[in-house]
Amino acid sequence: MNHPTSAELFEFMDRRLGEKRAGEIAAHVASCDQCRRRVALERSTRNIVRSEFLVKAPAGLSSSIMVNLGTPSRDSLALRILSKGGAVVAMLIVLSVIGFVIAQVSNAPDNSEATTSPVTKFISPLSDLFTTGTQSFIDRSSAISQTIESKAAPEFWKTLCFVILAIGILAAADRVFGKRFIKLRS
Amino acid sequence: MDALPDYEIISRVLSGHTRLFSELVDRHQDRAMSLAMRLLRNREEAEEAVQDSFVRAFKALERFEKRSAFSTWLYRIVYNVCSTALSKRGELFEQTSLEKDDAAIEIPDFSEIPDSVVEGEELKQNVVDAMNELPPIYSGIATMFYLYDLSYEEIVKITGSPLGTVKARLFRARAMLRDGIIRRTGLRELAG
Repeated sequence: MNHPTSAELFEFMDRRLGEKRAGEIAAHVASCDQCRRRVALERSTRNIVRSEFLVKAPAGLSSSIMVNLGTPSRDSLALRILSKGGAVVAMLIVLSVIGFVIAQVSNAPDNSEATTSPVTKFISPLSDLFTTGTQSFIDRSSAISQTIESKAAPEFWKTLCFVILAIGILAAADRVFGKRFIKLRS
Repeated sequence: MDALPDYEIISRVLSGHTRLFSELVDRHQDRAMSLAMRLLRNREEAEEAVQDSFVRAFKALERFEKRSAFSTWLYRIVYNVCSTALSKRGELFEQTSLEKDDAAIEIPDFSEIPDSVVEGEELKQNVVDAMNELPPIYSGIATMFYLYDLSYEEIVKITGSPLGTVKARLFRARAMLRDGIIRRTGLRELAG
């Protein structure tokens, strides 16, 4: 018997051939090394595609879809608190730790160099840097805000600041509520 | 809740328990995502397409007829959304010109091919590479056939193409995969 064509062999493997022809091809494959390899390659291909090409949907897709539909899913609130609120909580924890460390360092008695612990020696400059940096940021922010508030500030800058603020609020709302308040790309 | 079949969930959603739709999303999102990824080859676009598809499915849920599985109906929506996205991208989705030459596809001489080509570790990477090389329409049809184990008839429902076209495209996809695998192995052996 001649080798079955590729189309025929595929149909044989898909069980779409008549009983008689399927029997003939099965007998041929059993005795033909070349056709046995053709069948083996096709089966291996199927198995590999099954194991390698299933893509996991991103976490939160379901909640996002339900929010888009205006129908929050049953667990969406918890998920949203975990995913969106998690960042805020983490930030608060970090700030609390920094605040605690600064308070400890500031309240520590001003002992001599010899009695200062290595931890304090390490944290002190960091604490100063943080305090100075924060103060500088606050000073600079109030200076900018005063400039904007003053009548001398051009109308253009006021408008620009307003637009940036509005975009920031919309972007934050976009992240928090999972809705497209602003479309960043077409 | 897991025991509820898709049809039952759909009935409940339609009777007002709309939040249950998230159950259908959870069940089918990975497969919908896999199909979109194969067709669009871009994770961000695929996520958007899947999200859009589920929203469309929800809005059209009343029109869903129980003649086919919900998954088949959903894949059809995903397929159409991705098809539109590809058209917007300017990529030709219908490639009928290629299919005219199917009769001329030759069977490679497998007697010269070592067993390592049709089995073994090396094959996995060759299949992945060959699959990634397929044009979207063939990659999509191969995904439906191999990954979802769909029949020709189910693929007809999803793509909206006639049975003859689906068979021709599936044959072309399988032949291109096979040739790609063999070519890669040959090249690697020559190179190494």
